[in-house]
Amino acid sequence: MVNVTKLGLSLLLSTAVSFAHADNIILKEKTNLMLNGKTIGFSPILTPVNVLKTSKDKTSIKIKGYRLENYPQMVVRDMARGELYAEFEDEDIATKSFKVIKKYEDDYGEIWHEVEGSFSIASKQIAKEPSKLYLNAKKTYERTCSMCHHLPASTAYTVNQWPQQIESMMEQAPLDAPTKSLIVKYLQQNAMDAK
Amino acid sequence: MKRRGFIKLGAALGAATTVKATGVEGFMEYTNFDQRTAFSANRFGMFTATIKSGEVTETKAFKNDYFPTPMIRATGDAMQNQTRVEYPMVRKSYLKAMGPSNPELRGKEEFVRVSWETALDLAAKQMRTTFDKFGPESIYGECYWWGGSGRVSWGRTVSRRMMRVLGGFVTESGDYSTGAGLVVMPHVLGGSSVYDTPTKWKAIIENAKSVVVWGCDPVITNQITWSIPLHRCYDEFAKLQKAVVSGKIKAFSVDPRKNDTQRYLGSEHIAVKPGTDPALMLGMIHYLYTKKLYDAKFIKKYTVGFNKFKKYFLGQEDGQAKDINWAEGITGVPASKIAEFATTLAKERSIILCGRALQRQDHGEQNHWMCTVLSAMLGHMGLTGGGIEFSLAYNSSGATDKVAPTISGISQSIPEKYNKKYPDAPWLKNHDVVIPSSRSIEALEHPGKIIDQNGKKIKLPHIRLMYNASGSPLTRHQDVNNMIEQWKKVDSVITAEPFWTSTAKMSDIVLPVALELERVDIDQTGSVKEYIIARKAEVAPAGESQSDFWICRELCKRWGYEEVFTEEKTELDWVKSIYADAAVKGKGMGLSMPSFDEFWKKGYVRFPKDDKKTENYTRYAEFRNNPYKHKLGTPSGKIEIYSPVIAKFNYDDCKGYPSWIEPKEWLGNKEVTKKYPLHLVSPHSKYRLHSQLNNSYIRGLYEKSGREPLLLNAKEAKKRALKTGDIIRVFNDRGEILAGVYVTESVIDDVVVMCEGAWYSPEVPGEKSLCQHGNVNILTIDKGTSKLGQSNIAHTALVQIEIYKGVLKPINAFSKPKILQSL
Repeated sequence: MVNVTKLGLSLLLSTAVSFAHADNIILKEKTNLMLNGKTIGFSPILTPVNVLKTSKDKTSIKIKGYRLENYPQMVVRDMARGELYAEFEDEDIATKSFKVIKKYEDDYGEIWHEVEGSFSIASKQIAKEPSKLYLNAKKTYERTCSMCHHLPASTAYTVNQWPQQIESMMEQAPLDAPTKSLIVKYLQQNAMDAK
Repeated sequence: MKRRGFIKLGAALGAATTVKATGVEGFMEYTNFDQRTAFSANRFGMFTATIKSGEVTETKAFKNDYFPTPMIRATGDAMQNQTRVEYPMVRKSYLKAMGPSNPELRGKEEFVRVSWETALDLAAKQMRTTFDKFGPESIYGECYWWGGSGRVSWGRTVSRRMMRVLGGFVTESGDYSTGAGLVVMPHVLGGSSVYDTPTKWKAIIENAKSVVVWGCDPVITNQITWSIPLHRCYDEFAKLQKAVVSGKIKAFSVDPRKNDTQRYLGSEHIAVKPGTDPALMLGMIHYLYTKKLYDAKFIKKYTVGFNKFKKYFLGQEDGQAKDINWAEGITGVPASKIAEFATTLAKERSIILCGRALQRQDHGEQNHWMCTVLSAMLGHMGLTGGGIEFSLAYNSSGATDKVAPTISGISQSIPEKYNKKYPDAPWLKNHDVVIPSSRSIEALEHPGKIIDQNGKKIKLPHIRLMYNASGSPLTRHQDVNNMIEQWKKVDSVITAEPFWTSTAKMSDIVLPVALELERVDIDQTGSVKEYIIARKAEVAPAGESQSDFWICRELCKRWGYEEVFTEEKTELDWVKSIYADAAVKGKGMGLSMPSFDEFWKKGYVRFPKDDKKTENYTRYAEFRNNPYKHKLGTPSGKIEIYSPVIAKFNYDDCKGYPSWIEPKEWLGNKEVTKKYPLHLVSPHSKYRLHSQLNNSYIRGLYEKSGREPLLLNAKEAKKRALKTGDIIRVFNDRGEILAGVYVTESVIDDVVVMCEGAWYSPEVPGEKSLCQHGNVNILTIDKGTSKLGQSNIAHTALVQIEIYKGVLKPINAFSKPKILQSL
């Protein structure tokens, strides 16, 4: 028997959103996460982080999010919104890298951990002008995805649907991997259920 | 008149409408010895044109086309015949009033030839004043997908860009091809599915034991693409045929007719009554479940909602088990055949190629959803070459990719620097108004009406001006007679067109558009990106035709925003920048591309290397391998057999799980079939791209007695004493058309087939009247699929047929309208 809290997704949405963009500090590109000098995983571009300590070369950050008990290698925004915050190759390292704050059971019976973990990243990975990065993401999306069809508003799809929506157009869309990642994250953070 | 007599007359009238040359521009400048060849490409393929004295005398498929379509040969004929719009035109009353006047005379009244300046001034003024007074909801600007092509001057994109500069317009979410699928599939599989990169044919042919082609005809529909087809997938069709003949693969075709793919592969024909596919799938599902043939482990691990759905198909909700006997009664497929079919698919690896026609029916969402559930129960999703596919009948997809950059193109996005330069610009203050695809005429009929779509309430806009480019709504849309009536409510219709289509003839201002060989552009072969193609202006444009880019630039210039539209680049500058961008991307992929000048001179650059990494790509393989890391985009991350989101919408025409819902018209409706006993299906023609090339010699290859052929079987023909070549009246409450009978065993009982896209030839232009030529959309229903998708239901229609006893009138579809040289 798991000691968990059964939490409706709607309630979770309202409680989880508060810290997502709290400090408006985001990563300017895909960033390696280091622990004890060793790279153990990564966070995608535009991932919001809390900065704990910074120096010229290294910055200590905290990532807060949720992960599935059955698959701890991915930490996402929350149970309902699968925006990727961090990903790890190794299950054990992933498990040990985060502190479990609380456990929840979702509507489908899956067990989730609310977690937080601290990592070291290269200081240059912190976006100095987040607004410019978001504008670039917005314009790139508009330019790339309105060559042929009506440009769907970012609110046309959910956080979970956007990655597959963009993936589905890859036969036609001229996007390299970093640009695709930028667009997906931008759309997820402005999706139908983002707020 | 004796019957034989009027058949001869019919043939003669058909022949009398054969198009003649529109004239070669600048012919006096050439001698008979001025001969050369030129390279270009269009939506039918890459080709070499022979040009003699300025005339395109031959268009021959590119030598490296894997399976050229005969349609490429008709390109020259279509571009240089009398159907071309040669000069800017304004309808007489509209010109007199210099604005909206007597809209009821559209289609009846003469056009007046005017200068470009007059046409553009009038169009620009009317667009500006309409927008300024009524906003984006007053300007309809969908501009469709299939006219012209290219990345710089494709009418669809540049027209929409121009209307963004204007300030916004009414656009459509989704499209007529896939509208229902685009809405339902994100709920079921997390993504659109209908446009996803599909499973490769190589993976299918080497691994599947059964291939089911359900409601599509890939051999026909892959002839054309939305960019440039290279037809590489036809090599795969030949391999598939070989595998079927050798017994390695068993092929099935589920369709009301024996289509080309069925006959080519020698597939077993599962002859289903039109519109009843979900019932057939349900019979299979019930059988798989009750006989324990389904993959329970797959259902448990990768799906949610099976238990709720189970109650439905077992009859625990409504007392009706959806078993094979129930399915036989609805679909006409024998129960024993349904059982055998389901068993075969379950026993060994199978793939279902689910066609778009399935969702272009009343409640079309149910087909794609139900087929996904069926596929999940078969359990082959994600196994190499197995599962389900939704886009292998489109865009020449599924062949091995080439390692190549994807080229970009002009878009509807306005660069930030112009936003800063023009802070009060209309495009910054307004948003486009989005309605579901195919709901535009409903908007004309009921402006302000609130309709449901996908959990939202949508207010239909009050459209007062239509700007058409890159397509003909009067051919594309359902229930043409109603459309003509509603069209009268619009103040202004502006159409940019190369041809005198029915839409052009029903317009107020017509702007002549240059075709591919007459203008500059750049393009790429679709799906397999083997070639980037230079498109040069090789012949003088017909009359005073101009590119869509030029037309839109001129309109924007009149609003003071020329530089915003062009970004201060010519068409050739755009071509160069797109090529340069591709070269940078290519470099990143380790590819070296020739200089622009070398590319431009040669006409193309080729990327020969096969992409080995993707040659066995199978959709959902990653999801099957790791459903946590590769969660689907659904709320559960799994395949949603039951969708709580859809269930909460509480729609009466779309439940929370896929179900059988009787269509508005179908053969099981005994009341309607008393009057209209035949189900009409309207697939794509093998001889045209929707309506394109109907205005060329190629229609002589398939028309019967000068009319679009109607296919019916010998039993139905005998019942009505009809034979091939007879001219018949096809009718229902929505309208009437003439057709030429083609008796064939390819069509099942109670079904007739007429391809969509025949040009409209009304007896009384501008009014509800008999179409002499066979535009099938006069007979189809203009209704949304359901409150969920609200897409079109082109394949849902009942009709009656009878020998035509009236007097045949000349076919006016390919004639110019009456034109005055001045007011």
